[in-house]
Amino acid sequence: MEIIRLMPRFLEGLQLTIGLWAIVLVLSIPLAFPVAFIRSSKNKLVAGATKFYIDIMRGTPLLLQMCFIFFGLPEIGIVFERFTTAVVAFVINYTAYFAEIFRSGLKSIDKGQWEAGQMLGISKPVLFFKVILPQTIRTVIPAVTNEVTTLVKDTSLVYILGLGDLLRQGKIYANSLSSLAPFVVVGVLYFIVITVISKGCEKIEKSFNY
Amino acid sequence: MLKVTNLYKSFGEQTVLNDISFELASGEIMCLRGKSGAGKTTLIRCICNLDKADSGTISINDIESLENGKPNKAYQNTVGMVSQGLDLFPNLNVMDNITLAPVSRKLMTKEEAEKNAQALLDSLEIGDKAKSYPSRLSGGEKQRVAVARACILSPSVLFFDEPTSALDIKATREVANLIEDIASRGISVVIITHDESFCDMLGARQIVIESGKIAN
Ligand SMILES: Nc1ncnc2c1ncn2[C@@H]1O[C@H](COP(=O)(O)OP(=O)(O)OP(=O)(O)O)[C@@H](O)[C@H]1O
Ligand SMILES: [Mg+2]
Repeated sequence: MEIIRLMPRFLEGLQLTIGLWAIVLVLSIPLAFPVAFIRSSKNKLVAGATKFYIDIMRGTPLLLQMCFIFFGLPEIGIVFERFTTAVVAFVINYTAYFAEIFRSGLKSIDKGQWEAGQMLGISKPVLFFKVILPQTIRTVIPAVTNEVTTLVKDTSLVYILGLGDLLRQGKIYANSLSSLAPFVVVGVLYFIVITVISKGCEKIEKSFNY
Repeated sequence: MLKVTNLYKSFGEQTVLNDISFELASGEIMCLRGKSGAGKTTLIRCICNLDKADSGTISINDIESLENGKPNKAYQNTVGMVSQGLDLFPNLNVMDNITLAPVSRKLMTKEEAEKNAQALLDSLEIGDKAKSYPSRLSGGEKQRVAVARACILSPSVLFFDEPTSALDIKATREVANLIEDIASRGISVVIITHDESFCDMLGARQIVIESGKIAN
């Protein structure tokens, strides 16, 4: 019954987890499109620099990146609050992953689509938003779903910043109650959230019914 | 009238088009034949400004294909293509495939475009497919959508790349009728094909490309 009394604490943790998740998605998905374009740019320098950024983000642990921002950047006078640190670290990291997904999605669109647009005199922006982007979104949904659900689990890394996310609440009360029950509750909550998100993504995928 | 003069095109070391010249009157139908790899697709891609010829000039009704080395918009509006892959937009239904260009280019209002598109679809006997997505159509139906999409812009010259390669005899005959109908509206038609009997069916002039030159 302790557990029921503690439910509001878990929900607070859940709120932080979902809040961070949502903010990161809302920022990183729109950012990833321009990054994907720059990465495919003909200008070798900007394309190379973008590739370097993406490789670093994918080639080092997110936890390390977060430590670097939180403990390293203050050395050169850049100080972020804990939650801001988390947002910045996750957005920079997830933008890199999403950008790679979008880039390969864009590349998978048959170049005949662009040529058909050219032959019909359709302007590039119209063609992109009406024809290319919808097809790209459809092809990347499975990969994006994967990242989106991984992000829910990744948010637990913010324990390093001392933020009270869902997993940290579980750990605190598991200690104080000397019981595994809080972990079970936390696991169930994660599972519910991820299941709901996966179902949502599936719905979106099905809505592209062409 | 389409006029191609001294056209050259190489890919690296390989010369694909080696001094090609020909003319085509309005409403005329011409078949373009030649072995696989002879350069037929390359020729019509150059004429449509999808590839850039190394030298030579192309004009339709005295409008040059290039302006300061860049595709000329006024010229571009006079050519249409039904490519081998058709390249319909899979995320748009038949009606939207056809009306996207005229509406987004403000050549027609949405109502006008839909009325014209429906008339085209009716004349192609797929009037009931306006709301279908391309993936739900048969090969021949898709082809007719691609034709309608090109025709709504009233090009002066319409190019077909292998329109009958996937069709049986009955469907081939339908495409022949369709092309004759297009030509009777004063649109010149160039058809790439391997199918000699199809050319005969149309009674069309034929040119054969061999080693980068017109062989006949
Ligand atoms: N983008 C390209 N880069 C390099 N070579 C090319 C390119 N496009 C075509 N070629 C070459 O040019 C030659 C002519 O190709 P093209 O597609 O015009 O032939 P085709 O006559 O249409 O053949 P098919 O009947 O098989 O369609 C081929 O040898 C081909 O490999
Ligand atoms: Mg070809």
